Amino acid sequence: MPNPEKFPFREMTVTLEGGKKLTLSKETLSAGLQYGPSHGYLPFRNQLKRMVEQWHAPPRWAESDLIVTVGNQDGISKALDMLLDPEDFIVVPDPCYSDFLCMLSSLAPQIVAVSVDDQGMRPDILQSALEKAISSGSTGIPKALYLVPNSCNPTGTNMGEERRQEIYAIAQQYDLIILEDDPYCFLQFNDKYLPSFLSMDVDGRVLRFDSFSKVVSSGLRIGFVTGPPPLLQGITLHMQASCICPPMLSQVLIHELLTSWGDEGFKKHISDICQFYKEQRDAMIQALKTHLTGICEWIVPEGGIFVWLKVLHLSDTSAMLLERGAKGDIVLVPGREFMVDSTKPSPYMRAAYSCVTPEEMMKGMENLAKLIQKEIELQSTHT
Amino acid sequence: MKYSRFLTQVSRNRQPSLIREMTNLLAQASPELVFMAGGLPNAQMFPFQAGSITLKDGRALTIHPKLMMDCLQYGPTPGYPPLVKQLKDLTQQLHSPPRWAEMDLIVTAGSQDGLCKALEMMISPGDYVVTQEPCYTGTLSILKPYKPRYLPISGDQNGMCPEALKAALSKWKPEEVQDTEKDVPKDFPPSFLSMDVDCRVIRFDSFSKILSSGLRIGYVTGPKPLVERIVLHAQVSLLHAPAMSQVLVSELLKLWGDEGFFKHTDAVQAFYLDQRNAMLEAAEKHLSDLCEWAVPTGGMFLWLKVPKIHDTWDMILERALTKNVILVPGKAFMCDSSKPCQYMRAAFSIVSPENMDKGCKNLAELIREEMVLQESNASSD
Repeated sequence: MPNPEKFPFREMTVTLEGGKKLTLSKETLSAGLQYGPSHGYLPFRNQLKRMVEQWHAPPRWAESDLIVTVGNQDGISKALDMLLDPEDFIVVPDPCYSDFLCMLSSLAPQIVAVSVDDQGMRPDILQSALEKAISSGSTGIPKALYLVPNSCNPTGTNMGEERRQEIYAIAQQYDLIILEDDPYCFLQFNDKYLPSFLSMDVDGRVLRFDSFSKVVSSGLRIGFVTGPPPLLQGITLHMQASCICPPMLSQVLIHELLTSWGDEGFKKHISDICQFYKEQRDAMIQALKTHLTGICEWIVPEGGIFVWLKVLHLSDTSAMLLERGAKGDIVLVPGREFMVDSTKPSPYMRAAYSCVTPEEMMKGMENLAKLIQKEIELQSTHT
Repeated sequence: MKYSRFLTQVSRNRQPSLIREMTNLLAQASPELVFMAGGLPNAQMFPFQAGSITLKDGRALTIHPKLMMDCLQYGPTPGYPPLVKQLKDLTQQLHSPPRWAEMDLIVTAGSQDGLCKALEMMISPGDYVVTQEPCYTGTLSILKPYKPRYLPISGDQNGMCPEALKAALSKWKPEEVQDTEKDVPKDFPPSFLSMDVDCRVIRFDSFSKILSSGLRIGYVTGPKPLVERIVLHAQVSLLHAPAMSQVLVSELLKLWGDEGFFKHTDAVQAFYLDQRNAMLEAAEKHLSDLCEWAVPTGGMFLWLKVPKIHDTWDMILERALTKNVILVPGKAFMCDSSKPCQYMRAAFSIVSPENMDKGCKNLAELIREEMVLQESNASSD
């Protein structure tokens, strides 16, 4: 360990929204600047454990553990490294979060793609796809199932309670690890409680990935994973060899923040951000209704930051968005990027309404309508 | 150089994350562009608004609200652009890499994460790995899951012995043998990066020993095609090195300028030199008839050999705590952990001179007791 006397930083103060100042004590700042344990800064880990127990009351809490990761995505990446040999099967929804598909494209496991409806993965298709995989004669086995149950990226849908239980039961039948990726759990606009997979995990087969990126900060790179110790151990050993420990200063800051807020303060903050994103969603839907009625279809999201749009009269949106979008002053992500088979055309697009103002949304949707119109004309001159 | 032959299939399979690539569009975008492609959270909702860090010399780094947003929001995978520029300038200044135009740099979450991703980029199970021995345990931890076939190269005061290296590699026939003997300037040995005429060096730098280990900031410099593979791996894993840490390091380097930075590194050097001298004094006082060592010319470790002990592992892990001293047994640094090892690694970074004296005294007692134990075990066998 290097001598912290030689680190040039002496004191740190942060100002919170509302003007309150948090000054890190000498010991706390020291902790923030020195190497720490691979599974996370202990006071922070304990704080998170208390929160997870409170929110999810996992049925096997005594046999569970929690580690801090460098963002929740690094936890997922290391979980896949741990679980998948190339011949193994992994179940994913189709469409699926594109960065997850990127991870899979490098590991190249066998993918079981399951079509979705307005609640996410369809259990009937899941069942038949797993049957097909097992009888395929492959030496690999279906090992894990990945999903984003709340405000799914990219579709924005929420999986209902009954559907979750059905999926869990199928995972039990085929002995799958469930990778519950839940970065938008705090960005839900109504008070409807949807139990997490962790909260129904009677078997100890769920690895739950939480994130502070949408709630406190994305840049600090802090997430956490809850689940069975033998699986967390695999991730921790990999972290030990790679980043050694999650960024200490980031952990210290979030810990101090949560301590200063207490449960009440945290609830208030969540309520404030939900209010903000709900207004953003409402403005987005307004802009969509104003400019894209009859041109696109969409489901109104109940949380999160995305709307999944389907263009009614185009078979594919990729070229339009990637080659002509910038000139048309509007950029969305083409739907093809989220499809397991990215060679097939996709009429979908993902729009994020998190950072744009209502005025920009109106302008953007107006631009989008023009862009789509031009594209339809372009397509008809080609045919 | 052709790099594809070095890559694993997994690394070759990596494709850019479109969303992350699209975020780069923002940089050249017209102000009229309505960007709804990235899944960025709204930074106005992040609860930290501003900050201030006081340095040990009394000066302050102010994190005003706009800079705080840079600390808190997602950033580019290769690194916070002002820091990337600073580090590129520093690297060019310190190393003048002969093929700089063909190289790139990425900020990593500590240099070890860069090393891990570089090794994961190249190594498949059972591959040969050439390493000096003893070898840093962190590197061995990265390699262990791949069950590599090690070609451990013994070293001397100067590190890896070229003859031993050539001998180990002699079963393969290189197409060309290049003579890389060079005059080594006395004060600052040139880096491998600085002599890299072929563009075959990946260099891992760290701020952990001089600025902070907990911030998790290091950087990798190397040939563009190889750095690109590391960037792609980072894109789907940690996304980027912690932003606030990068901003703090960048602001600090900006405040210091080159002069301030080298003044600080000189101070760090002087401090560790004093520590080393105190350590040597304690070792000479208590261990000169029990241990052998070479005087370290830098860093923070003393590598001790205990000729009269067969293996230091049990002595340290099972008995050292009773003597109130702890070191790392040398076996942890050996490629073949089934063989006994007579070495131990002592860190002199944090311990005070008084405690070094006490520690070496206790260590001497530990070794003497171990020698007795060893003899009685031998006679009872």
